[in-house]
Amino acid sequence: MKPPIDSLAQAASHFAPWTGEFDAETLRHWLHLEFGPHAVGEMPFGYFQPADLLQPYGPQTRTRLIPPQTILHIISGNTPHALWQTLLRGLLLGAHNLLKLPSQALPDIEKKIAALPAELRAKITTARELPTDWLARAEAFVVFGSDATIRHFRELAPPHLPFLAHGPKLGIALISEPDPEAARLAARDIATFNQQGCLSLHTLYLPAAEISSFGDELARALAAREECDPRGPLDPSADGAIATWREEIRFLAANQAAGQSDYQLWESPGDTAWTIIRLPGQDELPVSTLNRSVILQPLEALSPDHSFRNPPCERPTPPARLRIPSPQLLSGIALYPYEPEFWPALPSPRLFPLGQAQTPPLLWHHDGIAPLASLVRYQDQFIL
Amino acid sequence: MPHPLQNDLYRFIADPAGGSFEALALRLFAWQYENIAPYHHYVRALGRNPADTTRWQDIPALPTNAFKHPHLPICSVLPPSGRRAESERATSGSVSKEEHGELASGRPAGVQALHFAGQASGRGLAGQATFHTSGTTTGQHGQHHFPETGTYQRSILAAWQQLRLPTPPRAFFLSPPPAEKPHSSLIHMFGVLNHAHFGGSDSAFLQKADLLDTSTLRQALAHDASPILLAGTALAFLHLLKTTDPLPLPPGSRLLETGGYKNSRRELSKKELYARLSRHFELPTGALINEYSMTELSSQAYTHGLGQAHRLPPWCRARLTAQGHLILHDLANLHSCAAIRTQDFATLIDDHHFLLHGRDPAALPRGCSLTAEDLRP
Repeated sequence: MKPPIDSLAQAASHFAPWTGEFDAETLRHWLHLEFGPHAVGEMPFGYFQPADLLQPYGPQTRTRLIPPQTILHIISGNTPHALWQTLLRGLLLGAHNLLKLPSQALPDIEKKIAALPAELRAKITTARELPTDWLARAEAFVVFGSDATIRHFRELAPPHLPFLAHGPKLGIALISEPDPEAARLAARDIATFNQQGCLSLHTLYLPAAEISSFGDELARALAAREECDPRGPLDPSADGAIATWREEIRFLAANQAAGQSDYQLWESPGDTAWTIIRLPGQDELPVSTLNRSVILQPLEALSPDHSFRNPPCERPTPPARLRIPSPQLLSGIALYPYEPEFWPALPSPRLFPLGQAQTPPLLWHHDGIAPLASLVRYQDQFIL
Repeated sequence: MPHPLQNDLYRFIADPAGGSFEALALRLFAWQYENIAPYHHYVRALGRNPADTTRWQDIPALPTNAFKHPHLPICSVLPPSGRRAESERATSGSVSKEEHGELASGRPAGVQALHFAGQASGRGLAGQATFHTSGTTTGQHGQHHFPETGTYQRSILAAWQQLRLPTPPRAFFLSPPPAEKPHSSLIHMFGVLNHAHFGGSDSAFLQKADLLDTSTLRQALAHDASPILLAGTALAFLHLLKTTDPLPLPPGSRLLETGGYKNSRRELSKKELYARLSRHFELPTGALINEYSMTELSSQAYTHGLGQAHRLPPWCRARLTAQGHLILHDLANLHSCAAIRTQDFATLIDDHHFLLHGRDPAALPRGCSLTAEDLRP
């Protein structure tokens, strides 16, 4: 049997649409980053051999890395990304992977897993209903889903075992200098996967004075996107959610005082293909109705004492601080232009250029967690 | 002296065969368009107006979420009969001059002064009230203002009579009395029914200080074998199922349940709920009545047992959005907006009957396949 790293590298094309491209060297580098040089150095063939992995770890201590033999992955049904990313991590750790798939969504996953090389397939078991013995077999848990799902499995999992939870998250963008290119990039992030994943952008923050013109630009960009990459039909529930939201905003926009523009609506004519809604600043992070519906809000709402355009036509000035609502819900913040140093400390596990919301790098810290190191345990040995 | 529109509505509620739903609906639309500023502006934003509207099905419906914005009260007061229109806006539609209200400044005159205290309702009170929604979707409570609750009372009682709903000698309500919950339209309705049909000393509201006390009911049943009506929310019944011993009710009794399991995270299919209720109270499922109602409406629909269509009273008609959401045209919503767009899925049988499929799961804003409830910090 080939070592996991080589097998995974040869099967990279199966994973790449959901994880990004990789090769054996990338995987070794990943192990190196998360476990240190000894971990890789002592695995010349790509095996994890815990019994041999005794690394110096401070004075009079060496430590043994103990990866889980079996990982239970609870997969949500919105997109296949989570499945392939967590499976890759589990296989890279050499674990057997129990994949609890959603009962109805992701219908072709079993077929795709069956197409993997035999040595990887042997490390995977799937089920649509949770087998009763899986909880007892698992030595680590990775759970994707709602708060209720996470709560449920946290109660079931033995407390001493690693438990990674990936709950409700969403992305936002800070656009300090809106222009047509920003609209095009935002449209790409909004349209890709129709906002079904936790990396999707829901709200774009930009200078209040430029929201109206940017809304026009974004409407053009989303309409153009629809031409070449149609969203496709929705079920009545998802379609109705957008239609209902539009009517509420239309009601609010129609009732604001003359000259006010706290509420604005841009919408695809005749269908729900795309929707842009302007809202005033709020205490909570607004959540869109998905499927290419996005919210525009004033940047000033995040820093009420700051003027981003001061004076007009010059580069915006950085705020001393930002108060982003519900930061615990953020999966990432897109920036345009991409100048992380412009902003004060941003409360998000991921900062990225606008247009790249859906393509995190292979080695990313999903939700700010080291995805490999968080699943292993260590045995420290005192050295006389 | 009541306004002619109100008079005609009352006549229609009392004798639907003697009037035209469509004509009344169009007149009411014209009046509400002229006098309820938030609705007026919304209809204009849709590019619509009463003058171009000739069918009740074309009257624009207001989404229920419109009631969740207190700075935009969906309410106006009909002026007394004979008062001339003060509006400077163009007359439109089939509304008569007498029916015009007071939309001179872009906002109805009555709206600015709306600070209803939510009077202790029930026991026949027909005063003003503000009823609150339960805030199930976003935590925001909607408000439905009633300058007078007499129209609501007429709708409740006439529907009860015309839809042949039961009037056993006694009724027990799994709720506090109306005086303790003046902002609940459901409990107001219980109060109206209790006053009109069951006002005897044997009837009772069983919830006191947030506790459901069934001892009164058990004592009453021990001393009298005549049938009863037991009414409450599905959640209250569920609580009763979990906390009390089986409680056989006298033959001929009826249960009225409404409201789902708001804010509870509890899930139980309708079929399972009815099976358990049927066992617990020793009643056939046909004796279980579901009421479809919401704070934003002044009329209710009812169905008996499982799998049957809900039936609306003659002054309320139903249609569907393109997605299958229920729109109700409730003429008893005299002072707010007659056409209400809900987020409930239904199949239409005819204008007065619909099969309810339940609250649209997407009525909750979602992110990453999750609910707003999950997302709230």
